[in-house]
Amino acid sequence: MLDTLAEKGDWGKPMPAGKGRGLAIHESYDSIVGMIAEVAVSPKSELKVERVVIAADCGHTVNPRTVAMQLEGGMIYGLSAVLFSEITIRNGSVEQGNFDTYPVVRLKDAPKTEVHLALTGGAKWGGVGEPGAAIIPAAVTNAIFAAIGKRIRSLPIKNQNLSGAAKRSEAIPGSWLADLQSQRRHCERSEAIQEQRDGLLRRLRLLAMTTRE
Amino acid sequence: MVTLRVNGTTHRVDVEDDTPLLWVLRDEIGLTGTKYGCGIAACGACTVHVNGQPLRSCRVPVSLIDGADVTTIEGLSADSTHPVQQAWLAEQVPQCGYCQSGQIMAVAAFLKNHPDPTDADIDANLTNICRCGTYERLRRGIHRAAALMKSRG
Repeated sequence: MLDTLAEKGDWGKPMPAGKGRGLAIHESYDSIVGMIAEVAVSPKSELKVERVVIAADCGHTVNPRTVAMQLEGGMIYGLSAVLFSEITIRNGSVEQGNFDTYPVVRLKDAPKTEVHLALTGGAKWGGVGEPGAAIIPAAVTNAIFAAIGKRIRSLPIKNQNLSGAAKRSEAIPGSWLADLQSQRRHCERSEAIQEQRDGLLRRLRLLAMTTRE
Repeated sequence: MVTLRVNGTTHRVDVEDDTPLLWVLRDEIGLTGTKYGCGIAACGACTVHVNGQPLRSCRVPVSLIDGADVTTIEGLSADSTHPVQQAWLAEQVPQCGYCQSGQIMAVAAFLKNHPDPTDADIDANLTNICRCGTYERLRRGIHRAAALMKSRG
């Protein structure tokens, strides 16, 4: 699947400045699905997802065309959430009521899409609905990182600032390192919390034992 | 009383002046091919042609178009041979299909003004929503319909 994806999605081919390619892959519903997204970030920081190549191993198909359509549709559905759809709460009620306040992907936002099946058969009959929606966020945000060297950690992207990123060549190592450091800090923090909790539990157990005696 | 010519047949309907055209078509005349989507003319599922122009019928008070000529998906062609319908079959555009009568009506009207559309023309003019995400096939269907129209002259 990954070989098919890399080949069909031109993985590794250079892209012009302001454009980038991002890859994401995951296993769910007994299928392995991968995507390569190509994005362009304009000097005005406008994002356009230009092309998405999807590869899937769902084991078998009955009608390959409906499988492709499901994967395309799932990707588009997920892309709405990546780009702009969000539900916000104010004074206890949801602010969005209809498509005027809850934008979704229309023709102008839809990337050129292709689906390639890399079926390995076997006992699996994997799903092809939700896997398409699940990885487009990672493929697009990885592509943004490749294009402008900026990591997106929160969706939808309409709320993110895509400007002010350093130039691609110098940005990648720096922010990559910063990413690692922040992940490490996060892990250390989690470990510290875990230790505190374990200590507390030990003391509680001790206390329980002593009071029983 | 409002008089409409719908798909070539004259109908006189007795409804409140502000009744949206959509409900006159569906509930009074019984043409249920036109769908209710958002109710605020944002999605395009209810698109029909009024005097040849595409309109989102959920927000058109019927009294505004008294005497108009209305075409719905049922009247686009007698036997599904309209180029857009043929292109839709060839490209297998629909998934669930709910938005597609509106999509087809919007595209049919669009191609009258853009017989040889670019992708930019499509992006700028066609804004109907499809929640199944059939956009890739929609785009292919639009180009195929344009080619069919040209070959038919």
